[in-house]
Amino acid sequence: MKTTTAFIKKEFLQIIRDPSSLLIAFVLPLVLLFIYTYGINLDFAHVRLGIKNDDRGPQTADLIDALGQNAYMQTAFYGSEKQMYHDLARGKIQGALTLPADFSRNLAAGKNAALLLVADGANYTQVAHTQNYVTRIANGWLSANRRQQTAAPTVEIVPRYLYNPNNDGRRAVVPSSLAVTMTLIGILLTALVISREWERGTMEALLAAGLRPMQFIIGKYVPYFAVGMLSLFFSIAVMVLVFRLPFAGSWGVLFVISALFLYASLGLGLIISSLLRDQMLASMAALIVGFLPALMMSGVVFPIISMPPFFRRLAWLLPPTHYVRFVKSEFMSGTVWETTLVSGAFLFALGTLFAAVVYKKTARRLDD
Amino acid sequence: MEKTPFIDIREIRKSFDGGKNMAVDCLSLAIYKGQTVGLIGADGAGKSTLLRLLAGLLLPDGGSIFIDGKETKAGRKPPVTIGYMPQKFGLYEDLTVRENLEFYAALKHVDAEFDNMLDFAGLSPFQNRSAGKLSGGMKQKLGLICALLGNPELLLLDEPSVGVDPVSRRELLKMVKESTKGQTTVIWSTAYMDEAHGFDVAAVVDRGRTVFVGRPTDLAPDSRGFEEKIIELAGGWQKKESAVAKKFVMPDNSCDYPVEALHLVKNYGSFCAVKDNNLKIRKGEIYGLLGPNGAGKSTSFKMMCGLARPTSGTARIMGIDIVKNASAARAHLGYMAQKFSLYPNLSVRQNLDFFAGAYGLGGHRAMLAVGRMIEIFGFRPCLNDNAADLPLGYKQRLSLACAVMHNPPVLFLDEPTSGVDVITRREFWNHITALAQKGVTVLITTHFMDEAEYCDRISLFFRGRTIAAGTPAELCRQTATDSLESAFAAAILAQEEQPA
Repeated sequence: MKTTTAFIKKEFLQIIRDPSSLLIAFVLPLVLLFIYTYGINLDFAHVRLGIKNDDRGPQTADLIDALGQNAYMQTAFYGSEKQMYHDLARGKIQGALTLPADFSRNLAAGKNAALLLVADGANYTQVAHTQNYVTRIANGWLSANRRQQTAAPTVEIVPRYLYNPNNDGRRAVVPSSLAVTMTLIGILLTALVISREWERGTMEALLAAGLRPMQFIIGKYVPYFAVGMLSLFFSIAVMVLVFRLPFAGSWGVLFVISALFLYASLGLGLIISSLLRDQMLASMAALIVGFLPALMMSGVVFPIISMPPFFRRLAWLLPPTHYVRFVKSEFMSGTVWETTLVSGAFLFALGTLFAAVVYKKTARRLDD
Repeated sequence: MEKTPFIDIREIRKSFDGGKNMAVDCLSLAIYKGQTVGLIGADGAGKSTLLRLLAGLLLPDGGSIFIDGKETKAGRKPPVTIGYMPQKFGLYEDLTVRENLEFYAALKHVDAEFDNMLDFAGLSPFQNRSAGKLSGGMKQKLGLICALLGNPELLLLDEPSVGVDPVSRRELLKMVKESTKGQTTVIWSTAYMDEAHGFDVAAVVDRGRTVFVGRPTDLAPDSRGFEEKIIELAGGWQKKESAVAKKFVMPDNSCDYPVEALHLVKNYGSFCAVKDNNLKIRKGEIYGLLGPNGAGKSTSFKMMCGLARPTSGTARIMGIDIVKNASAARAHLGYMAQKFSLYPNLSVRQNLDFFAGAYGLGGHRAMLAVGRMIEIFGFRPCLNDNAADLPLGYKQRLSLACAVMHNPPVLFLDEPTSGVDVITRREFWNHITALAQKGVTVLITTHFMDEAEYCDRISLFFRGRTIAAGTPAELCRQTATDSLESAFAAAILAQEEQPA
């Protein structure tokens, strides 16, 4: 017991004296929070739309006004098609809309009237937004015109966004950033702690002094768990107190599941660290195994439902996926016991499996 | 001899990389209680592996080790208390001196009188300084008292004296003798022959086997003779005319002082690494820079060959100012760096080709130069082997070949022989002295005091300053000592007595 306490104390001293670990634990979460709050915006994009109007009928003037008079789009007018596509290719405009000469004529005749929208396919999300805006504005204009003429009833959809009344993307994304933060603490910080002992030659001294594997492992888990929880409290405090993010769930449940997630992440980090004795290699592995899946495959940015089946299954094996699902619902809708219990059980099982691997892989001798 | 040995090593074997690399090869050794044993050998001779086997840190492939009559098992509690000091001392650099000591005491379940131990090591004034900020000598002492915690019956020290000044080295030996009082059995590994001569028993290891075990004084009365005998035992070495020097084409030069340093100063922030260094080296002279790690010899060396920019002052190579015209000056020198700066995953031939190109030899001239080097150094059998897989001696020859390929009139050698076995060192020095006789000017840094004897003149570096300079004989005369090591120690002590 005394040995373990001494080891934990030593580990704490090293954390406190290493500015980079404090940077990862407290400054990085803050940076991530700012990026998630102000930097990443999944709701709308500003689009500059180029318009070439070959129709020039009086009716189209309304449509063109409507396209320019909203918060999302700015319009620019072109006389020559060549010039418009030239600007599109150079990114000066993101979409190019052509109104054909027979547009109003076809419309008046009750025939199909086509609009040509050309968008820059290199930016995939922007294409979707551009198409969405133009379609919506054109449809709005059309139904307004029709009503004037015929007053026929149309179907109108009134959306209501459950758990997120204003459809504010931040409310869904910012809590998920906890998954990235906790992964960083769990994996990036611990990936180096065993390889460092090897590289500085202290592992030899520890083994020669008769340190037992269990003492070593407890000594590595406890301090980083404590740092991770502190960092979690800190991040949540900033979210709720500074950014005024509404929290619908239970604090107790949030901390228990977060602790389990941290437990699993620490295990993954320590596995990397015990397998790779080279610090450089260990930190690269931590980024690839830990950080990238947490960001790309956990559903923080890209929805899991739209992934191909193999990746969907893979995503379900990763701890961040479960944590993201849990933390979103905890913040937005309150505790959903079904999700919470499944995620909690999974994270606990995974964490324990990882801990067992770490125990198995902890060196008892130098040639292990 | 006495009754039963305290440590009985029986035909122990240990290989790495799936048997490819035989580190310890059927080695047997008996050590008696209370002896101080020097384990001597080059890098890769098997010293560290043997110590780790003794500490139970490695599992042997075969054979057995009995300590105090009981067999040791790797990964289990050893039969006697062992104090083990690994290479690099095993200290936590971000913990303070006292925290390191307390931590290791807790690991070993020892209640120690920390104040007394720190006093004993002379570290009391520095106990709140982090271990990473200690000098090499102080780290070594801290490592030692950590290993001494709990008064172990067996003390294993793995190269405790690498890169440490001779005064600290002597103090360490004194500390070990005082604290063990003849009760503890000590095994101390080293690459220095001169150090080994002072132990009760010397066990000389070469390629995983012992070539000599016994009292060093039985073999020869002094360290010089001891080295000769060891060379004989390791297979012998005969002086031949150096083929390198024979084929060396000395460029015409009329420069009397091919290497000059003029008031060289280097500051890193507020720390002064080199303080006003002046040198003038005559044509054909071998000039040695000696000193412990961190004394400023490597920094001076790097400034003189244009690899580091001096804070003030300058150096001249063949009369060309290295600060103003670095590339022209550097064209005249051949450089061999610490730890063989070859490309490990290129073959011998590819390394030679590359360096020929790097020195600006092209086409036919490059082919001739590479061919000449292959012939002189006998690289033909291993032309297609990767440099990393070469035996140590060949690696060193390849480094030298790459440095002299373009027939430079000036050679800069930065610790070229550290970790190299005695025979390879002999061969190396044979080439160097022969090249100097042909008129090549050589500047060399080294840790080995005995190697300094090959130099025509020497500068002793300590804390950024040259504290003594002259021929080896002059230095001994100035300090009234009989060996260079004693001369160096005396010079350091004289320096420390002066107010800073």
